[in-house]
Amino acid sequence: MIIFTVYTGGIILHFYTSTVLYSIIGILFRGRWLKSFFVLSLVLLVQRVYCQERYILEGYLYDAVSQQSVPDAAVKVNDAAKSTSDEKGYFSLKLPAGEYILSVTHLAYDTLHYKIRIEGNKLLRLELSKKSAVMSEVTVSAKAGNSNTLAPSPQTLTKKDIEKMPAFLGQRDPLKALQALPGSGKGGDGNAGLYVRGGTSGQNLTVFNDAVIYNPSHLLGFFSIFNSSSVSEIKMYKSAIPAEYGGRLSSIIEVNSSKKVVDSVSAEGDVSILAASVNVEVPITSNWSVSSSVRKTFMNYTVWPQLSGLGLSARTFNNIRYDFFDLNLNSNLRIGKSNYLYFSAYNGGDDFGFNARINVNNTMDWQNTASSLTWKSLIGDNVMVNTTASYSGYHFNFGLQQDNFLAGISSDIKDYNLKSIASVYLNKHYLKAGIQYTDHKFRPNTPYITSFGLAYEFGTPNTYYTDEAAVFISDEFQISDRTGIYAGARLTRYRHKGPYTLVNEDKTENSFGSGSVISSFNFIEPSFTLRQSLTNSSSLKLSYSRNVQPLHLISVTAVNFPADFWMPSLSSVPVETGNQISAGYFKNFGRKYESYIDVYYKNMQGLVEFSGGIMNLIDNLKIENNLLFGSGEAYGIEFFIKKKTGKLTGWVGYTLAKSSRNFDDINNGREFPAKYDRRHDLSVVSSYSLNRGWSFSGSFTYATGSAYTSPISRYLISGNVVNEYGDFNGSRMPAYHRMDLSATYKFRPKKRYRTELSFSVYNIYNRQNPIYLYFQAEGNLKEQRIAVSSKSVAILPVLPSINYRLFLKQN
Amino acid sequence: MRKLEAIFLLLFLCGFFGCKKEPSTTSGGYKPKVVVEGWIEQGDYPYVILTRNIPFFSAMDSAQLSNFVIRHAKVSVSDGTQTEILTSKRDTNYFPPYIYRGSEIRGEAGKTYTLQIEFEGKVLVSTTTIPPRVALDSLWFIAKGDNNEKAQLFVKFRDNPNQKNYYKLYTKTGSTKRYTPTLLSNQDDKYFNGKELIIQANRGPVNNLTIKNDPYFAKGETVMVKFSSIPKEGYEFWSSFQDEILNSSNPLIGSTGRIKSNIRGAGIGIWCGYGSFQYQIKALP
Repeated sequence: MIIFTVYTGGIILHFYTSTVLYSIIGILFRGRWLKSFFVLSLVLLVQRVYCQERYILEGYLYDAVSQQSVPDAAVKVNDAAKSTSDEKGYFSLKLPAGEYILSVTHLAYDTLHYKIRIEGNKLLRLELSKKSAVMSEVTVSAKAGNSNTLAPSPQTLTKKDIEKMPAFLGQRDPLKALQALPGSGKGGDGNAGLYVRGGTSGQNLTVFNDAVIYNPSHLLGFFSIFNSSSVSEIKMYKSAIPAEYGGRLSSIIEVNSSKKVVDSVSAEGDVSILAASVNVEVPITSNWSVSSSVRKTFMNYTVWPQLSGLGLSARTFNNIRYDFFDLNLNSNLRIGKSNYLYFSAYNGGDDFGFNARINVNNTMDWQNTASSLTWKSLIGDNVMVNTTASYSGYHFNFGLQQDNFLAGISSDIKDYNLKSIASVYLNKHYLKAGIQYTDHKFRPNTPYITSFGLAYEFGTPNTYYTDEAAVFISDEFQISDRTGIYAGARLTRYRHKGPYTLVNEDKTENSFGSGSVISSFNFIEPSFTLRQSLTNSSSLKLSYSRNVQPLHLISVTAVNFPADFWMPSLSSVPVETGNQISAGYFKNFGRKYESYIDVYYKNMQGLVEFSGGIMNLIDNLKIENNLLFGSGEAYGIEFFIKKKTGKLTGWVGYTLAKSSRNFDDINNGREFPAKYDRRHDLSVVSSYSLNRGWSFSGSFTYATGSAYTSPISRYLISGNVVNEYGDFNGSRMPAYHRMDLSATYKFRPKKRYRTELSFSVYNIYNRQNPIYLYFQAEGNLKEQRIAVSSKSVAILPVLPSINYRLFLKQN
Repeated sequence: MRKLEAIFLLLFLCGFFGCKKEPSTTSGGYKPKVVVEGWIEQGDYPYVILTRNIPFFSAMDSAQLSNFVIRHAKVSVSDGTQTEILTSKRDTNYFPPYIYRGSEIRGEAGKTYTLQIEFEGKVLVSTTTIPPRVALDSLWFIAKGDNNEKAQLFVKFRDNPNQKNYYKLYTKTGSTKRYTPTLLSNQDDKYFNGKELIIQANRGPVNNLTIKNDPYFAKGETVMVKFSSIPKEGYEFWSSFQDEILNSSNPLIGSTGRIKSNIRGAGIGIWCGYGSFQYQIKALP
């Protein structure tokens, strides 16, 4: 054993041989000569081997898909543990000349066996394939993908891909990039919502460093809150949601900042007419680094005064004010070899206001807060425990004021969350098990009106206290070289707690005190995936999952504005449940192309529609008494092909889909299309790198128009022309299509910095894509003439922008 | 309270967002209905305007417009003891210029009135009551505008704590016959029961055929103010009506398409009793 170690080790080898030597010398001095002779010859052999010239074998480990460094991997030579990769994925070994089998093992990756011949110092670059490749996942991460692995990693968007997409007003947006992938349907201009595989925008769970973000959008949905410089990775699961997540029907969007402990100061900044952002990373000690990023718009100085100058102030409102900010703070601390402590805090908000013509000051503002503390502990070679405590907060306020009249509505959510996951790697199994507890407090509509000092009485604001306790377990099992399965399940106990006043059907009331349980139920969310490799470059994947969502996003506006609010399930508000099956065929064509075809079907129950509008919320009505419930069905086929290398790169994604709804109280129970039912949805993204300096990119998107409810007739009451509406969602908006272009010039890098300048044009042929249609009557009753015309509201015309970026690096 | 809706009308329309004409679209599902607008004021006779709903998108002239007026229905009003058949007359104070009018029954506070309409074999029925009227404590104006050349109306009243009340506030100027609801027109006392309320009144648009609207009055102008108590069904109708009129063109709000009619049968609209006080005041801040 010892000799074997000598053969293959580095520093450890020296320690062992010395120990052996001393013990042998001890034996010799005790005079057991003959018996010891044999041992001595071994020692001589050891010494001889030790004297052989040794070379340094070093290397870096990367994730095959994201190209991020892989830390904490065990690197063994000829099956003996020898080294562990550091934060940069770096490892080094000293080896004598010879031929070796290098094995790299990691909890989350397939074991890599690599045959190597050592004849001198050697530097390796090795790529590891994620075991979770069995899961259907989209990863948007920091570096270019260059996957040549056997395991299919079908839906991959890298940060480089995002950079290649034309930026909207100079802002690159990782969440918006997801919308260019098949199946993650877009809402249209000014709508950050994702309508994944026929679902609703409230069926996506967005988590930032394990803390839930309830409204991940800025500027009425034009941007997401994710500042691309502070994000290292975005993953999206749209089928077979893994068991460690639950509570959403459509998708999980997992956004993470960098977990790297940096060893040098670096900074990155950019400026456009809209905003500036700065991201700084600073090492504090060799085991601790912090990073912070700030993004702040200054449209109140650049954009709005220009618009006012164009005479907009003469219109119905003026003095627009709108700015937003994002603040990220991260701390990454390594404690010893196998413990890490990560802290992340995010705060961001929007502040929107304008004056209407009659001296009314309108304001709309919202804020997201998310913070999390994660302790990652590696236990031995094959166990990792991640424990996270997090807080999420969301606040929305809409208000208006005319002199001494003040009115508005606010909405609040507070979540406290504790989650612990143990990941165990056992030969062909990758097991995960964990527990999670979340405490929610929702206050969806708190109205306020003050008229000349008299505050209107609205009573106690609607407040709902709920909690969820969950256990989950999953296993990824490699049955054979070609076949792998994933099976997971999550069991959740959900409770609605007091204080709450329950109004019974006979109008009697039951009051529940703080902490008492009004209703509770349990649900199970199973998830199953089978992956079968067909050839070295193609595979088949089948998946099924059933999800339960005890939370509803209730849409109160005609477009997806932030006033939409979250409402938890109560005894009178059932949960949303969904079943999804999907089958995908994945094929790579050499190193250049990857492609897939994915077919899905899903059904959903417990979907909600609010029977009123935002104005009804100001009445402090009980939301639970004003909801309509129904079901939905969605199916479709997705096509995707991506060219990954060469001067010209990019992808084409196309989805043919149908999504319908069925509500007893809408359209007399007849089926109707979902609002964002897109029969066709096409995205083309391409980028061309001309030379060292210049690169160009373009994107085109086309989608069937969304459904809306149009009037079928009109009538007159007190001189007003009133619309009478036809079938709910019975009409279609014009198709949505748009092309964006951009050009970037990278200046020659200097020693400590590099810069780039980009020009981009959004909506280059100035397509007026309506977000809303309405019908307006005009005329004069005295002259007895009335004309009705349909009008559309389009918000984003052709928009050119310029953006300057600066990257600084110590050394 | 309902001011929010009113103000939303003015937001975002055609301003920040660009507007553009879209080609007309047609859509099936049209069902002919009788549209009823009827009222009985305390101390006055009942009035009813009957029209049809029509599927129109393009411009209409006076000839087409006159086609959708229902002039030959049998319209009767009953106060429980007495029933009167209303007669149809041309009256250019209203649009369309035909109105059914009574001449015997006069509205009394606290009484319930039943409207019955028989037309082309259909029968439409509705009932309403006239709630007790509530007087304003005071009315005054405050100077507005860049040069204080305009005046804004303020009214004050005290709600009765022992009564369920719904209110509606109107103004008019000049010789027009009909009052126009203010932007903050409908009030529910559940928010201020038994308290004194001051309303900063914004003058409403005459109708939704124009988006031009001045919330203030010209200095020195003679202003008529009507303050009505309305029954619950009237409040629900006018609130939802206002939502639709003001907000259906606003992308922030949209239409809920749910006007709460109190007409039973193949019709839509409102039959409402009003207990009103009217005031005449010069707009002098």
